[in-house]
Amino acid sequence: MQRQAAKITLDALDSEARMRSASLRWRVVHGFLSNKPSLIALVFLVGIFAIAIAAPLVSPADPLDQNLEGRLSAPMSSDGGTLNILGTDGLGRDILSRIIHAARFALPLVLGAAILAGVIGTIAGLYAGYREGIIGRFLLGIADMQIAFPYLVVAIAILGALGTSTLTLFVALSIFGWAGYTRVAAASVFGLKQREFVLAAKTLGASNLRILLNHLLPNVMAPIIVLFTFNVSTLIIVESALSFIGLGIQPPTPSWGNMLNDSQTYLGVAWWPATFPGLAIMLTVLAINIVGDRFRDVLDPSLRVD
Amino acid sequence: MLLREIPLKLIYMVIVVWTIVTMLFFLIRLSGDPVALLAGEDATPARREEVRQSYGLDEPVFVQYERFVEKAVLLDFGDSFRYRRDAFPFVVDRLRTTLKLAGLAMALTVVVAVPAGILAAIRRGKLSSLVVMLGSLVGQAVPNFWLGIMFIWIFSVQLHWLPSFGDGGIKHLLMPAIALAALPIARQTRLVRSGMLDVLNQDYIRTARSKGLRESVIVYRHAIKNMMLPILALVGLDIAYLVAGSVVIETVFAYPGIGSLLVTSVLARDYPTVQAAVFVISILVVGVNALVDLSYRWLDPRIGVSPV
Repeated sequence: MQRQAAKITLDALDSEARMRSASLRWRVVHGFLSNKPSLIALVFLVGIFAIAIAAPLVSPADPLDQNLEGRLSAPMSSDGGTLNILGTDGLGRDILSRIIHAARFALPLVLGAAILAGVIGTIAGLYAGYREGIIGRFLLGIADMQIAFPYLVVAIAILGALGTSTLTLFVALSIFGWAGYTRVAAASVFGLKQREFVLAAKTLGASNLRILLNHLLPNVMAPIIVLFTFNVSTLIIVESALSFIGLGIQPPTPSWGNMLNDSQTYLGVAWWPATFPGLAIMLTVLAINIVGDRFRDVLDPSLRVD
Repeated sequence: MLLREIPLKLIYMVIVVWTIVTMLFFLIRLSGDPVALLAGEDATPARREEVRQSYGLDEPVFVQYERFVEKAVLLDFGDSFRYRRDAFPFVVDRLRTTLKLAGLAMALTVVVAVPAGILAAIRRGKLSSLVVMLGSLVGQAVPNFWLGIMFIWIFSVQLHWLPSFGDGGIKHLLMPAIALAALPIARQTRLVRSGMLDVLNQDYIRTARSKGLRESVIVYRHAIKNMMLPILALVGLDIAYLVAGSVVIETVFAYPGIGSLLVTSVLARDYPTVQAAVFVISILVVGVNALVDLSYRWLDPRIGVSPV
């Protein structure tokens, strides 16, 4: 009898938690619809991802197709029937097509790395925050260590030693972000686990896993989502920096970073190979940051900058 | 109280640096045989064996590690494969060049970001504040190496005002330092602004206002003083960024610092130089962070004591 009552109350607690996250979802949708800059940024991002996915269909030319007679032709020049909207590079390849194909390769890589880092980092943080044992403290210690350290320097050395492949690059990018998620998740759980709704669930006999999944995780999600967006934009810059110095995506596969590296050779005669890949990085990162700011304002008003 | 923590901090630093250097040692050994590189591609097997023995590469990896640690403690990382000279003093020499660049970028950051952030806070909602915030949003999105390339195109290729590469006087430092400082300036401006807004909402500011103090006195005498501590903490974070960022920026400007040396050494598989460079950068960054942390807590004893 008593046990059944506890079960019913516990289910009610769970469904209340679910309802709270449903209203959160509505707040996010409303938050974006009511703010023009963030809506524009969001639409822009969706566009970029759509173009990246549909790269072979939408790109005007083959990104690897060299045309030595049409080297470094200026933007909007037409050459042999095709219009090179953003001009061609030092080997006569169409820059717009290369930018589009670079996005197709880099964006999934970066998103995948951020998701992996987010999942692993959040689990580690939930654990460390909920169970303040030796393992938890050890995880937080490593996270602190990594945050205080110029990770990029070590990543460069390690990528150089192991040789660059898509896999090593993916691993290096994933390791970049996990520590942030761990710290944020652990800090939130520290604060939450003494709150009434967690204590109530515990008193009613909910298992640790149930408390973690139904009551703590949804409350940690807001800062995690905010962190995720900034993690993605940082990783886009890190990936292009690594590709720029020759340790990221390897030619002939185009990447915004290795295109910029190529462009330096021709800087004296052509500005366009150096300008457009950089603009692509900047606009993408800008859009993600604007979306991230909006997420933060809507999901976690306590962190509001304004 | 704080004095007792200094040995603890030092032990922590040693552990961090040791972990990094050890990790790197084993990854490098995993990654392949440097003998081909050292002896030349077309060396005879006998010559290869000779090289292998002279560098101690024929021994088990743990024996190699033991010898490496023994020497590393004495700051001896061996000779650079590429430059044929003692790697450690060479790296330290390059570090000096980098510190000039990073120092200028740091100074630029504080000189620009603090007034800009304060301005954006006290003129909230006005045009000047909007311009500052927009600039900071864009500044956080611009990859610094692209900014460097654009600077070269404008100021070297088009205007012929500044040299595009190398090390010399202030003219050589200007473009890389500004490119390097762009992100910390943008980030700091935002943080200074929100910190300033926080301070302006405090009770003692309200008291000062109700006393009838002029707004300028409130800002300069009361608010800014209380902003100094958070700024100090951010300086620590920026050091780590500036060192990491200099790696890429130095490559753009062919600036002979520790960052460009690290990149060329990594690409040339010059492991003694890579090891020495990572070691020096680790010490620098971890050390500065520890110093900032200690001085932060010395200046504001309310901040809790943590073991690390």
